[in-house]
Formats: sequence, structure tokens, C-alpha cells
Amino acid sequence: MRLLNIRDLVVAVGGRPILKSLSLDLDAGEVLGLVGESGSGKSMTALSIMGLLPHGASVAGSMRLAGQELTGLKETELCALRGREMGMIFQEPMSALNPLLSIGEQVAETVRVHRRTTRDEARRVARDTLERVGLPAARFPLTLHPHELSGGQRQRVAIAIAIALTPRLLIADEPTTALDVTTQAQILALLQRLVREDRIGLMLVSHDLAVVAQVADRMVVMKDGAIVEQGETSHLLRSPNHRFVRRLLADSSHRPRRAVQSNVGGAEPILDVVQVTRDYPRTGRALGGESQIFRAVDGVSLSIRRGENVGLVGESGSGKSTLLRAILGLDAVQGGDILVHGASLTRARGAELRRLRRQIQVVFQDPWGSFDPRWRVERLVAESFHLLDILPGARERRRKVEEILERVGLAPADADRHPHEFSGGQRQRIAIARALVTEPSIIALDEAVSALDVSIRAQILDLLANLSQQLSCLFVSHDLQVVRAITDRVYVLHDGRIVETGATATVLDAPQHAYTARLAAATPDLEVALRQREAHNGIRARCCRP
Amino acid sequence: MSVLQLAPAVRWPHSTSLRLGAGLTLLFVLTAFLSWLWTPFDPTAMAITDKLQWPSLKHWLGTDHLGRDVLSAIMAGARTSLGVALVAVAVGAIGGIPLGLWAAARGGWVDEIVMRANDLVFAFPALLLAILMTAAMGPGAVNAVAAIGIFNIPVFARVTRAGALTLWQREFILAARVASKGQMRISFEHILPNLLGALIVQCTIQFSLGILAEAGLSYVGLGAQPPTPSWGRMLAEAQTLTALAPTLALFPGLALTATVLGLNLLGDGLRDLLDPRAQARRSS
Repeated sequence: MRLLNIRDLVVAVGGRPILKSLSLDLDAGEVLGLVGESGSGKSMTALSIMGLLPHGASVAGSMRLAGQELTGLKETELCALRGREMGMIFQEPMSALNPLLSIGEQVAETVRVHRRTTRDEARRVARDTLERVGLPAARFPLTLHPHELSGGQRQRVAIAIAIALTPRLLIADEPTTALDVTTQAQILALLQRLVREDRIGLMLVSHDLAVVAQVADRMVVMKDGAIVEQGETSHLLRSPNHRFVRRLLADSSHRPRRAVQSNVGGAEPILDVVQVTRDYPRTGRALGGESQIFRAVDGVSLSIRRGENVGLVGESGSGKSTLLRAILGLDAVQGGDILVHGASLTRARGAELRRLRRQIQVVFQDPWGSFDPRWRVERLVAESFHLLDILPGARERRRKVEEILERVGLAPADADRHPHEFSGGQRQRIAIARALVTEPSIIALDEAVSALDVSIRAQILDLLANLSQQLSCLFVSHDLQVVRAITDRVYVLHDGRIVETGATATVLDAPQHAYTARLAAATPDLEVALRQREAHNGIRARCCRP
Repeated sequence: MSVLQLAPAVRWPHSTSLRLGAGLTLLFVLTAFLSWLWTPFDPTAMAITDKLQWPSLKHWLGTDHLGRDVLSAIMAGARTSLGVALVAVAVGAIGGIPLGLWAAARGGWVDEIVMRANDLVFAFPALLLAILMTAAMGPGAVNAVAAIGIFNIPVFARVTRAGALTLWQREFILAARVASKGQMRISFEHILPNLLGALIVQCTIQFSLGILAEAGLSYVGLGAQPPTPSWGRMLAEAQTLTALAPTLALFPGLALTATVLGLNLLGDGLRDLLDPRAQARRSS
């Protein structure tokens, strides 16, 4: 008997079909990858199984967990199953945990809800479980609260809550998307170990093909609420039948074609960051106590030449966002200087500051948050005109906005629409238009493609590659795959210092610094993962052959 | 999901509380305006022979101890309430919103001083200090407006600052800063328009509190002075006559309750309507 058996699952929310006749199976001790772009229904599938669909959802079809039918169960019956028979891990560990309860209490709570145990017994289970997920009580007392832990440690607590009662089914919805690559590698290894030890059936929902290729035994590809293809991971990814899967594969390893940059080496640097230091006062100091200083960026130097694409790589807390804010002239620096075309940005004021800022524009990470929701596109894009000494008239402004919208692949008429009328990828195009409209020499992209689906990401990377023949780009990112695809040179930032720099391919293929090596090794790579999987399958096939 | 969250709500609201609140508020405002043009009787005209009458066809809501028509007095009283509360809210909003924007934009010691000054005003019981102020400067509608208005300033400053602080963290504000826009410009171009929803809700709530405060001040004789009609003073005068004419206290009391209730329901309804999270809830 299969652990999870879904037949003809149909889900509609408010009359709108979300899942159309979905059938899949999952065995104990198996990892099933659920892959698709946003809106494909992969998260809805997970929520259907857990019985956590929003109000107004209708469910038809059959979902059996170890033979027990889940469709049509009452809330109380589902409550008895959730946590004991099936657990779930979410993307954002901070919002999945209760900030007011200690980690020990949160794990013990799950135990006490399902089992009639004493407080001491529940606490013992909590301690054992936290130890299993890599948070031994000696170093991580049960009395710690979520805010005292890092993102990866919080996700470990969330996993501990999910597996405290050794459920048969574990659903992980983008469990590592919010984490750094090195932390992601650790969490994935932990999940794999738990699956092996407890023979849990793991359903891994992810948009990242490389992650799924690395972890999942079988995978399901979804599109528009239906399964387009499913099968053994390496087989499916090596010889996909469906056109959509082939496109997904091509997009996820997409490298934009760029014209070879000539004469980059000899060109004058347009941006020179010289020994920049950025300090923050530490918060929460005792009243009257000595105020402590946290050095987020410590003597960093970098330079960008005309037409060059430069990557700035580091994990969260490395200081890359702080450095970017300094380069954009948003924060004052405590030491060093930032030179734009040889003029100091840190000392510039008024018209001079506007003139220098015109040279560096930015595209932010979140395509939903980077526009004032009340403004129309024309006004949004034209906001950068504030940097010009002479503001263009209404007609001139309109003409320039329409021209730039066309350059980034949008229609001139889009100028009259509000940002919420656009998809994530289109919004990122508007953001690029806003950055380009004053004709800067450098565009800084702060994780600008991380939040996008792979197909959209490929288009945006192509657009940037086309544009960047005239201008330089600074890619601030934790995603080595993207940085490798699009940059010429890379700086690796760790604890506020540049630990390694050089040509991108050289640095990432033959890292000199231990941190870079760790980063490169932890980054999931589709090709590497598939080769490992095939080697493993090969061994199994040979030794099991009669 | 996010598309739904940001879509402006233009369709007619289905919430009953919003409709009821809007209806009561509209009735109140219309009554106040109508009283300028027409009241059944002159609200200040005394007719001792007709004193303390029960509601009848001639005097729909009866007459008071000086024979004045109660309906006319309530209608004219609505005008006083509306005027005092409107000006008080305006004083609070015009004083408080820029303070809140300024504190949020500048941060540091500006923020500290503005907010601590707010705390100082908050620390006093508002009505008590209003009584003190009107006692010192003399009773009257103008002084009542000033007293109530001043206590509205920290409320608006606080609501504005709290909303503005979260908005300042948003990426579209960073984008405006990259475009070299100053704090003042960003505050009025980006921050204020995005706070309007919350501020309109706050206005309706302060409005109802202003009406209550005016009634309270008039009740103790420090608000609008005779002959200007006022609900609070009507209640105070009716108090001694409850045994003789119970309806005399009932009608101004009902008018006050209905107006305050209406404004509060309107505020709650507007909050639900303008809150993007509530929109997402409704449409899912």
C-alpha cells in the first residue's frame, strides 16, 4: 500500500478551478519533488492534503494517507491527523513560529496536543527532537525564543515541530527558499537524513529544479493546476517528454548571450569604492552603558569599468545590502570614499549629488514593493527625472517614458496603468525602465531576479544582457547561478570584507578562499545533482541485478 | 494574491455596519445643514405657556421648561456639534499629520522630541484639561474647539508617524530617495497619500470623540453658551426635570448616541474597506 495516494483531486476556490484532476503517489521513505512556476497550484496541492485550504474552497476526488481517506474529513478529525500523521514546513520560519513561546514550548505543544503526556514527558520529547534536528540542548537551551536564532536554526525548530511525533508524511513548501545557500544545503541534508531514519514520505514543493534534482527520488511537474509530467527524477530531467518541462529546464540554466566586451581592461573605472567602512550603533544597549558599534562593511574596495558586469556575492549579514545603500548615496559612510567618474559621492551635496546619483540607478528585489501602489506607470518611471537639472515638460516626459517602456519590452500604453495591473516579471521591467530613463552609467540590481519564475528570469536576464552593452551592471546577489551567468567579474563579501575577487568563472570554478569554496559547493547545480543521482542509480542497478 | 491586495476598492460595500454608519452620519450632517435654513420653530424662542409639553403633532418632540421646541433645539444643536467637532478634527489633523510625517522622516532627536511632547499631552486626562483650559480662558464654543483640537494633535501625530515609519522601509521610498527626492517631498508625494485610508478612519473616530467632548463640556457649562443650542446643555437642563418630563433628556441623548454610534460604525466600516488585508480576506 502506498503511503499517499491521490486520485483525481479537483479543487476550486470561490468557483475558480485551482487544481484540475490531479493524481499522484508517494511511498514511505521516498522524496517526491513538486515543481512548477508561481500559480501552478503546487502549494495548493500541499494545502489540500493538510486540509488547510482557504474558506470557500471545494474539494473533490480522493486523497488517501496510508489507506485512510482524507477528503471529506471534519476539521476535528483532520486536527487529529495533522502533526501526528502528517507534518508541514513552511517557507518563512519566522512567521511559522510563535515569537512569544520558547522553542522548547513550541515543540512540546505539538506533543501535548496529540498525546496525553505529562509536561516533563513532553519536554523530554522536545529536547530529543531538537537534538535530532541539530539543536542540542547544551548549546541551544529549550528556553530560547525564535528571535534569538538564525533563519536556518528557526527552520530547524519548525522541522522539529513537524517531526516530533514521527509523522508518516512530511510536506515541505519551499523550505529553503528564504535561506542562504550554505544553510539551504544543511537543511536539505537534514531532511534527507530524517526521511532515511524514520522512513518518512517527504513531499518537497519547490520552484528550484536544482534543489529538487538533488533531493527528490521522483518528481511531478505542474502547470496551471494540472500535472504535465511525472517520473523518476533523473529520467524525467534527462529526457523530458513535455514541451513545458523542456522549456523549464532550458530557462533554469539559461545564460544570456552577450556581446564580448572589448577594451574593458583598459577603460577608466566609472565607480570606485575606496576602503569604505560602514558602522551601525548596536541596538539594545543598557541605559547609560557604553554604546557598541557594529561594523557592517569593513574597508571594502571595488571598482566597475564601463560596459562591465560585476557581481557582489555574499550571504545574508555579509554587508552587501549595506554596501549597496552606501553606493547609492542613501547612507553616510564612516570611512573611505565612493568616487563616481572620479568625483566624491560621499561629500557631494545638492545639485552635485543629483548629478552623481544620475550615474547610478537601482532595481530592487521585490517587484511588488518597489512601486507606490497609487501612482501610474508614467509618473513612476518619470520619478527619476527629478535627478535632471531641467525637468522635461509634460509632452517630452511622456515621449521619453513611452520610448523607455518600449526598450524594456512593454507597450507605450502601459504608461497609463497602475503597477498592480502587471505581473511580477513586467513590474521588474518597469523597475528597469525607471532605472534607465535618466541614462545612467551603472545599474545596481539588488537580487533583482531572485523572486521571479525561471522563465521570466531568463527573459529579464536577456533584456539586461542586451542593455548592458552600453552600461555597466552591479549584481548584488546570493545566487551564484545567476551571477555566473551574467557577470564578468565577481567580488565575494564575507562578514563585511571582500575575501576574494577576480574573473567570475575563475573565482567560482577554482575558489581560493575557503568561504568561496563553501559557497560554491553549497550552491545546488542541476548537472552535478543529476550526475550524482545517475551514479547512485547505476550502483543500485548493478548490485541489485539478479 | 498581491494583485487582489492592491486593487483599489471601488465597488459598493456590502457591510451592514458601514451602510448603517454612513446613513446615520449623513442624517446628522443633513440635519445640521437643514437647521440653517429651516427649523419647525425658532430654537431659542420661549413660550412659557407651552412649557414641558409631551410630544404632539405641533411639537413633535415636545417642549422644554421654557417652552422651546425640542426638535428645533436638537436640529440646531447638531449644527453646534458638527461645527465644533469638525474644527477640532481639522486642528488635530493639520497640526498632527505634519508633525507625524516630520518625526518619521527625520528620526533621531526630532522624533524623540515630538513624540515625548506627545506623551506629555497624552499623560493628562483630556477632558479634565479641556475643562481647565475653558475655565481659565472663559467658557464658549471657540475655547472648547481649541481645547478639543489640541488634544487631537498627538493622536494624529502618532497614527501618522506609525504608518509613515513602516512606509519609509518600503522599496518604493528607497527608489524615490535614489531619485534624490528630499524628505519633505517624499513625505507629501508618497507617504501621505498612502496613509490617507488610515487617517480618514482616524478622522471619523476623532470626530465622534469631539462630539462627545463638546457635549461633555457643554454639560458642565463650559461649552457653547446660551442661547447657542447644544446637546450637552440640553441634557444638563433636562437632568433636573427627569421626573416631570422624562422625554426631555431622552431625545438629545438619543441624538448624541445615534451620531456617535454612526460615526464609529462608519470608521470601522471604512477601515475594513480601505485595509488591503481585509480586501484580500473578502475576495478569497
